[in-house]
Amino acid sequence: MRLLVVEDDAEVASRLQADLRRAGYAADVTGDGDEAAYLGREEAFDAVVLDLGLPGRSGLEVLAGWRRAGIEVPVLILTVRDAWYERVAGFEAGADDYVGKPFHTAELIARLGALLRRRHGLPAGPLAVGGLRLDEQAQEVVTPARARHELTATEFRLLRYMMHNPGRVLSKTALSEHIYEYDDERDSNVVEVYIRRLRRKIGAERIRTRRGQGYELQA
Amino acid sequence: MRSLKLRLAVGLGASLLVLLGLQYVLVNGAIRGTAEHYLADGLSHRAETLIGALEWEADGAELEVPDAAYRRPYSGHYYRVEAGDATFRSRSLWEAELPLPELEIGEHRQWRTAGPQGQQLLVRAVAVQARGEPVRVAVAEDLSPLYAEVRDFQWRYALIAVGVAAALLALQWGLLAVGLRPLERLREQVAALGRGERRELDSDVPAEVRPLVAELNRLVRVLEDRLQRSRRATGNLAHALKTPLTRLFQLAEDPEMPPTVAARLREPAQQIRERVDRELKRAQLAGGSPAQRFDPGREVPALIRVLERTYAEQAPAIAYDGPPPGQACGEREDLVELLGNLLDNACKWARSRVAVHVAIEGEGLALTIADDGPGVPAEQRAALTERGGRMDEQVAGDGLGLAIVNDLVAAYGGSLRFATADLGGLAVHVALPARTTGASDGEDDA
Repeated sequence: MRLLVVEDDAEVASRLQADLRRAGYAADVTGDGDEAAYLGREEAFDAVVLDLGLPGRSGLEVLAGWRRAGIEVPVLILTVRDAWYERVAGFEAGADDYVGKPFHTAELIARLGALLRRRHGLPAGPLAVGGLRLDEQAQEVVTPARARHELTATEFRLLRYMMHNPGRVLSKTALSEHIYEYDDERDSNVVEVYIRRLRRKIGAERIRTRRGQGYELQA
Repeated sequence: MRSLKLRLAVGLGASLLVLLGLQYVLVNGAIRGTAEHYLADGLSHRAETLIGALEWEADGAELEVPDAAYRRPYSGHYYRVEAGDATFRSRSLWEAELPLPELEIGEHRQWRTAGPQGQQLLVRAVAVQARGEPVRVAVAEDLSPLYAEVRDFQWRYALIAVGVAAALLALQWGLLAVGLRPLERLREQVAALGRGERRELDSDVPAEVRPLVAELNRLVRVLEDRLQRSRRATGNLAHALKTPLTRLFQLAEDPEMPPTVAARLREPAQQIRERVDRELKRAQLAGGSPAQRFDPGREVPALIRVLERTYAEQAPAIAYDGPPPGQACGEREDLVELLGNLLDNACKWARSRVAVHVAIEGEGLALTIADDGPGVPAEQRAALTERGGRMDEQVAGDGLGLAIVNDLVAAYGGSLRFATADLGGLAVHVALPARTTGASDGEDDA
């Protein structure tokens, strides 16, 4: 799962980025409205955390621009402007959730998780696919046999993304786009390495390889 | 006299009556004078005729007058002529006397006197020299018929004058009403301005009040500008405070921070946040300025959509019962804030259902927000509006919502009441009165 954080206060942004990474997300940060608009159009984010008071272009304009362009990425507005009429305006511009600043990191992360599950049509609560359960707090996977396996950061991102898209064929490029940040070195062959490691932990039969197309997590 | 219309009407009416009265007196005097003058001319002519009618014999003068009016007793036409030693009296005098003063030759005199049978006589006397003899003549005519006709005229004239005065007074009243109508319209517009139904007064007014209207409009704009500026300023202040506050929150939740330090940091940070939030909301109260109006039929469904998304996990069913779009009342941002907080609170506690009821009552507003949650026992309801009143660690949020609602309702001079809802949970009833004067700006307590 890869997120875009649009926040013009550098310190808030970098701490939030660190918190989100700790929570198992790939997180890109920008503090500029125009750059945010561009990144939202060009990159494959799973969700955006959007501040409203931005230099360049206001957050609401950025959001409205994406929605006009048909970009349906889930957007959580994170702003100091949290009067109810401002919330109404935010949702009318196309926001999916709204959190006022200052915020509790745990609550923000919980809301983001819920937003992502909702967007992928998954039920609320712990992420589970075909008896496989992901403990997002501990970043461990629990097999139907109740065996717990610790996951590295990249493994966790990869499995979480696949568990949000069960039964869908995901190309190596798509997978790398959703688990790496903008500045990371992307090598789709590395994806193969992580798939192999995941198979060792959750069982090889759970991830099917579709030749020339990609991988599919069995629902 | 406080009414401009009454003052003008009395002034104009009084001057009209004085004018008509003066005219009446002058016209009557002139008519009477003219008639008497005419009569006097006639008398002078008769005197000459009498003198001309004297026939001089050797032993004195003889007078033969053919006019029948001089023969009928008390006809109103009389004469007395003294020519030399002879004296002639008209037969009409009968037993009455017409006095003839001693006049120098060439002198003449005119006077009024009482005649026989209550007649009022105008008498003219002349003295001339004829055939070497002094001749004195007095002719008289009764004024009563003339006076009767003048009185008759006076009556008719008075009647017409009264009619004209009444018509003119009515016309004046009507003209005043028409002339003062722009002021009445202005008064209504000023009232509408106070209620927030208009943003400015029409400038299409008579020249006399145009400066007043322009000044009022300027003041309204200044007030609105000032409100906007102060809102922007508080918004900026909030931004400026909340961003470092966000850093403090992040710091307090930093896993690398020793837990004891983090805990000590968290509490003051939370206190600052509550204070900033509450003061910000209070400062943002519109204070009775004419800004955007609250249209419940449009705003409440929009708010409900916001809450349905915010509480997508719990997915409460929120029902709206209220006026359709197009009916507005009160100030938008304040009322959206009020309803947003109440709905948020209701959704937080609801099991599955929330009901919103909105009614516009004249210029006032009645709101009921009910949920099917656990409710609040009667004895604990008083504490609801205190800061963090409905604090519960299990439910997200900080319990500030109802405190903000309380501030808002107080600023509007409204009432806030808690009851048990038909749905089973808490019902919050809010009644906001019509807002004709500005709300207090919420600086009354700390």
